[in-house]
Formats: sequence, C-alpha cells, structure tokens
Amino acid sequence: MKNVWKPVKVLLIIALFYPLVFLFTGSIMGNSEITHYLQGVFGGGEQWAGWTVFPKYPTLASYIELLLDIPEFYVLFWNSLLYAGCIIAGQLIVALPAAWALTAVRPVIRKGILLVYIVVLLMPFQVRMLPEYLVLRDLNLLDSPVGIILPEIFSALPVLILYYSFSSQPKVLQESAQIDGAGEFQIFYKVAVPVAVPAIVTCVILALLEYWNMIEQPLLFIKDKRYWPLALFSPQNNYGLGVVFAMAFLLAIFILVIFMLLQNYFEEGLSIISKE
Amino acid sequence: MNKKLFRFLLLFPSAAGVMIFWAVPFVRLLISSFYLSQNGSFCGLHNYMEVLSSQSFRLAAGNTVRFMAFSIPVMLAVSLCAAVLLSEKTFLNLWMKEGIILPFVLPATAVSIFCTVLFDHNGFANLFLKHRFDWLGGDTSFWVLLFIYAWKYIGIYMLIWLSGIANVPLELRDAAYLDGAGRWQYVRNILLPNLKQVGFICFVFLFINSFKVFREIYLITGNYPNKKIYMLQHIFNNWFADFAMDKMAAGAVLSAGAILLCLLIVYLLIYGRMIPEKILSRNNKER
Repeated sequence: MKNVWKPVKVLLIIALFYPLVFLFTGSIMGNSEITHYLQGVFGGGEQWAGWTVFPKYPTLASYIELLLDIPEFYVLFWNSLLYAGCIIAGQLIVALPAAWALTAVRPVIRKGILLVYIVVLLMPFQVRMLPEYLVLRDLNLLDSPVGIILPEIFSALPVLILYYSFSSQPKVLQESAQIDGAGEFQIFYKVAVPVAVPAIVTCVILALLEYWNMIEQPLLFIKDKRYWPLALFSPQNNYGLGVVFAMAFLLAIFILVIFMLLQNYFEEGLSIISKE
Repeated sequence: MNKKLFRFLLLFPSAAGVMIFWAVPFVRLLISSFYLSQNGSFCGLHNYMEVLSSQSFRLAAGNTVRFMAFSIPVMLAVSLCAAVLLSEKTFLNLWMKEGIILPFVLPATAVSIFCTVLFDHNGFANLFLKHRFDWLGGDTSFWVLLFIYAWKYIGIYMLIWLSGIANVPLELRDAAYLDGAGRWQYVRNILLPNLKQVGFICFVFLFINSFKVFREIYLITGNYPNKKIYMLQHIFNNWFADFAMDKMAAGAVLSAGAILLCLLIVYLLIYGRMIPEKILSRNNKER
C-alpha cells in the first residue's frame, strides 16, 4: 500500500510546485520565444498556447529589462513595500500595548471591548467601504498613501491574536518577574513580548500577505497611479511577456523566502489561535 | 491607581483608532441608511426597499451566497482531509505541505498569470481537451473561480487544522491504538471531536475571506466579469462610481446584518449544545 502512495505523492508535489517552475521557465525565455508560445493567450489570434521545459535560448534579458529599464517597477514596488511595512509596524505598535492592557482589564469591560473588536473584524470590505470613504474624506486623506495605511493600522485582528497569546502565557512568568523587582513596563517588554514572538510573527505574516496583495482600497481611494501598489501593475500592456514573468517570479521568490524564514514561528502562532 | 492609568494609556491608541475608523462610522452608516442623502430627510425603509428591489443587487447577493455555500464546505472538508493525511511528519509530507501552501504565498500577479494561461480560450486546459471551451465566459466561470480560490487559500486552513491536530495529546492516540482502534476510528472518534473549536475558527475565517474572492476575479477578468461571478463587491464598486450613497449605506447595513446573524446561528449550533452539557456535568460532580 505504501509503495503505491509514494509515487502518487511525488507526482502531486511536482504538480503543486509547477506554477513556480512555469514562471521561472517563462522568465528566462527570450521575448520572441515566449511570444511564440503564448501568442494565442495574451496577444490575440487563434494559435494554441504551447510550452516547453527548457527554453531553446535561455537568457536573462527579461530580468535586465525589468531591473534596469522599467522605472515604474521600482516606484510601485517601493509603494507596496511602504504600505505593507508601515501597516505592519503600525499594527504592532498599536496592538501590542493594547493587547497587553486588555489582559488586566476587568472581565466585563474586556468582554465588551473584545466583542466590538470581533464585530469589526467580521466586516468585509464592501461594508467598510462607505464609512471608510467618508472618514477619509472628512480627514482629507483621500488620494494619499496615508489614507490607505492609517485605517488598516487599527485593524482588529492583531489585537485579538496578541490578546489570546498574552492571556495564554502562564501567570507564574510575570509573577516571578515581579518578585525579582521588575516594573510593569519591564515585565511587558522583557517577559511578555519575547514569549509572544510566535504570535507576533503570525500577525506579521498574515498582514504581509494581506496588504502586499491589497487591491480593493487603492483601486477605490487612490486615483493617482503613482501611489498604486504593485498588485495593480499590469506590465503586459506596455512591456514584453518575458518582463511580466520575470516580475512575477521575482516577487514570488521574495515573498516565499520571507515566509519560509518565519514559517516555524507562524505555525506555532497559529496553534495559539486554534487553542483559544 | 497609577497602574490603572498606565493600562488605560496603553489601550487608548488602539481603542481610539477603532472608534474613529470603524465603530463610529458604522453607527453613522446605520443612521444615515434611514435618511435620503440628497436633502437629509427621513425616509424610513425606503433605501432598503430600493436596494432589495434592485435586480443587480439580488444577482450579486445570490452569487455571493452561492459561492459561500459551495466554497465553505468544500474548503473545510478538503483542508481537513489534507491536514489529517499530512499530520505525520515524513519527508514527502513536508514537501506536500509546502506545495499546498505555495499558492497562498504567491503574489497576486503570479496567480493571475498562471490561471490566465490555464483557462484562456487558447490555454492549456483547452489544449488538453482539444476543444476551445469558454471557461470564463459561461456557466463554468463560477466553478473555475471556485477552483482558483480553493487552490489559493486551502493551504492556510490546512495549517490551522494541523496546528489543532498538534494540540491533541499524543497519549490519546496511543491509547486508542492500544485499544485496537483503526486509523479511521481514531480519526472519527478521537481526533474530530477534539477539533470542534479549530473547525469553528476555520469556518469564521472562511466566511470572512470568501468576500475577498473579488481580488481573484478582478485580476483575471477585470472590472466587468461574467454574470455568474458578479459579486457583492462589484455592485458596491458600481454604486461607489455612481455616488449612490443611499444604496451603499442600506446595502452595507444589510450585508453586515446578514453576516452577524449567520455567524451567530452557527455559533449557537456548535456551542449552544455544549452549554447545557457543561451545566449537567457540573451538577453531576456536585452530587
């Protein structure tokens, strides 16, 4: 029985990883070769799409064009990085102390606050859209990156994750720190925060994947395309297909490396959520 | 007193932000949904009637509900199966896990390129069938969308299930096997009852995130998709473009109400039964 499963699993693994290989192959093909294969899909016309495992004339031309010749790429990449980075940093700065404080509030008040946060968390963008628009308009933040970043900083998800993480820490830890003479603030950043690292990493990864691919908010609230994130960049209109593949592959690897570095913490953090 | 003040100061930024950006605007939204935005006069349920009688709102709401009705059970089941099958940490299983998570980590551009090449008029799926089938045009668009969405997001739910499985004590498994339980019996009688809570968490996340399917639709078909995959987010975007504030307010309140009601019912279905049990068991102990 086991001998049957192994080849099936290997095949499945190959199939699951194929998209990445596909992007890579496309990215090292010359522009004329890739256009030849995918003319029917992206260019119009009636040829069938074709593909190959090894390009006939492997070249790094697409990468060179992407990295040296396309200034928009940097602008939008920088925007995406700025959005994701600011939101993540902001969320942690706001959520860490709040979650910590919540563990010590009286239970009745805490339950009320948690309920509000959960309800806020449950609302999809279509519900938040009009209220968010009106607030941004009143604060004069439409059409600016701050208007995208600021509301998301106060997202409820990190507060909830961190609260559950803090409240599942053994009380003994903090008490022994107190006995050793640590003040309130010292307990927070020398005991509670280091123990909560997996939960923090979980927040960071979830936020990174969410805001890196953010589409709805910038599409509606930002008219000026200079402030658009990379997810809204569609180079196929102006550049060769090779560049599109090179960009997709580079970004995939970029996010994948970050994810793999943090994966162990992430899984540990998820298990805290699933315990609650 | 000092300590209390300190805690309050810590909580303040977050609470204030949530109030300013989420809670208060929601309340304002709720109130404004009963007024006409043009002249500010009270109009009762007029806005709601308008939204509910709109053909496209019904289409979008129907599609969204239909999408949820299929995507949530399918993804819950598939991710649970994957998690149970991959819970043993062998070399191949680890790579399988990575492979299943991969699309969740891939950036949107990469996913959209791959799916376009796969499902285009001249794409791989049709090449394989030797027939130019219109995947994204007709009724199939809904199922193609479901497939893409499931492929992309199943990994994260598998991880959540896996973390739940890891929290089930190993002694339980060993005891079950010692008592002669087979693998299937162990999964059904020991593992699944212990995963109820994780299941609810997965359900809640699936529920909230199923509205985000808009992203995939947008990246693959642009702003004007086929009728079968016209979702609530699309109609809200259209209203936004037309500055139809009244409809947006009423539509948002309706969506929010439906979501809360639905989650409350599921919550009560899962946990409602557990409350009497708890009381019962406490009584038994006292005796």
